[in-house]
Amino acid sequence: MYSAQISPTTAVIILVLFGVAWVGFGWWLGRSNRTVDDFMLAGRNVGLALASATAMATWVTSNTTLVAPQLTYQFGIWGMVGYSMAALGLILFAPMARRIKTLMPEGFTCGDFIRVRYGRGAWYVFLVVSFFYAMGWLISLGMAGGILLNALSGLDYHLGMTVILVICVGYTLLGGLRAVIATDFIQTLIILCGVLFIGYVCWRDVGLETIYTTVQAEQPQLLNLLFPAAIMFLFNNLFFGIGEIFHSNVWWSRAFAFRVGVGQRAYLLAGLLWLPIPIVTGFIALAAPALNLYPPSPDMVGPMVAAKLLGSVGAVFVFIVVFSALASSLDSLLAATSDLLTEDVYRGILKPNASKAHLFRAGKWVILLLGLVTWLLCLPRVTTLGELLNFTGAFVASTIWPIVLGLYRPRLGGLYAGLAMAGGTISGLVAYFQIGFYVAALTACLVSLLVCLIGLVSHNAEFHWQRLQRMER
Amino acid sequence: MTKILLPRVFFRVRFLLLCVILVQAPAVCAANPVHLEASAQKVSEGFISLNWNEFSGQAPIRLQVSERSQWTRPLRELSLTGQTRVHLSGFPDGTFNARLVDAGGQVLSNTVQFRVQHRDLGLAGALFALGALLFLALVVTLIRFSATSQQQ
Repeated sequence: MYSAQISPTTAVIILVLFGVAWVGFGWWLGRSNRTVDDFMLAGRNVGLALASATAMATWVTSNTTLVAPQLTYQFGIWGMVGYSMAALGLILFAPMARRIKTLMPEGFTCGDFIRVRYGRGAWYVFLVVSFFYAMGWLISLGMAGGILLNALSGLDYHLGMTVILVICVGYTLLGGLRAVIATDFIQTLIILCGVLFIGYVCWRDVGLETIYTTVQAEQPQLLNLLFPAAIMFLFNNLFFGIGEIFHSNVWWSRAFAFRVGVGQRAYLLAGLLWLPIPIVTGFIALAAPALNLYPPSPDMVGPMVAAKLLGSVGAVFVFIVVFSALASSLDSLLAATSDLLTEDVYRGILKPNASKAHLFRAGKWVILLLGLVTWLLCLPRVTTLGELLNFTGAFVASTIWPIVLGLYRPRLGGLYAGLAMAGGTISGLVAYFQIGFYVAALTACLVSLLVCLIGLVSHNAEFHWQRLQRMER
Repeated sequence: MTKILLPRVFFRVRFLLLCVILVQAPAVCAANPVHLEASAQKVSEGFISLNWNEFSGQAPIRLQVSERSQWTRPLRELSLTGQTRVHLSGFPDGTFNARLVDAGGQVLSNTVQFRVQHRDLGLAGALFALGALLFLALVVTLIRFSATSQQQ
């Protein structure tokens, strides 16, 4: 299709080396896992350095390395800035992480919170929202793996996607959350150094002036601060990011796993460290026309520019950085989603009396099953990454207000929380199809807030926080 | 006799015309060996995808984009050798035409037309303001709730 920068053989060698290293590391870390608490929540004793690294690395994902350049290529300056504002999700979650740990010291999943706080009706709605989002994200990560390999080495999309999924399922299965967090720490270092280096090379070799002149001549709308769709996209992306973090078990499971007093500082630090990364990855997309690169698909622009800038040896480096970013998110999502399935669906609905030892085993089977389902859904590459991710925006943004009010205000009842999530999602999807993906999350969040406000005014029940401490079933 | 001859002559003329058309058809196709397609006729975000069939002819291949078929000075001229798809972005309002040419400027494809009409800026501004208000409400709520819960 266009000049691949590394040979398929080199790509396979890198994958095999990394695969063996990560899976071996996962097995080594997983040796001390004895209980379901160890496997799902790393013994609930993660310190500040590992906590900040895992939060940041998980948020640096295919979104940041592939979709941030895509959105900059499509929406220009606002696309880049709007994407970086997703860091506010981590920053705003910081005080909530502290509250979650205080309210639910024995909690396992965000589903536990919704079930105890709002009852079964809202819990079912939440599970649908959460699984839809988790599957959307998992598929986008699997697809990103295939796209990455295809863009950088010309390897078949299906082969790349399969290999990356197998590696991540392998070490998550063997090491649980402990392996996920430890690998995230190493992956964070690789990502930070790599992204900064690519940004520096782009600035040095292409130059700001050349980039500006070329974009102004060829893609003038990208520099227009009054670009209507991009203006709409800005806050939409912000609420999408906040919704992703506030509702997802990826972040809740970490809040449970971090040592007491660590969560707030870790999320704040991770947010501040993450903020400049989409600016750098987005910036390199603007260099595409100056380098005479015109991507066949918008999600390929980032890897194409990076590979062109760094040449054959550099392409190996790019490959490792993006692979690390993908793996750090894929493993976290596999672990967190399997926890949600094991705790909320398997234990919550199918086997309420399951012992902890039984859940420990079931959790591993769920990871395998989840990996298989993801692989099957990734086989037909049906859409671009940006489209797939933004479709889930309507779902996740509808959960923001029910979660915030549920954590801090005892008055909001389950009926209104459930209606807020369902109504918000439906209205967000209507906006998605009627206007565009760049208004779905904003609409969902607004409608959800209105329903919550009606609930707060009309409902007078008081929730007792002790019920969360006791983890009532 | 005339009644018999006229339909025959008419039939022969029609047959000859059909032959001429059939003989000409490959020549028309040969003039445009590549079929170019746009992902949409009208876009509101300034980005569009163009794709074309695999072309075994001479490389390199170039894509010309112009406003109102002004091919003497195209707006963009991109070298896309080896590709069969391209995603273009950053178009302002207007009607644009695109076609593929070879290195010598020989036209290889049909011309596709697409119209870019960005969304209403007033609507975008209103949504921006709404988003800002909603975000402010969330931040204030979280700060207040968090402070209250810490006091408790």
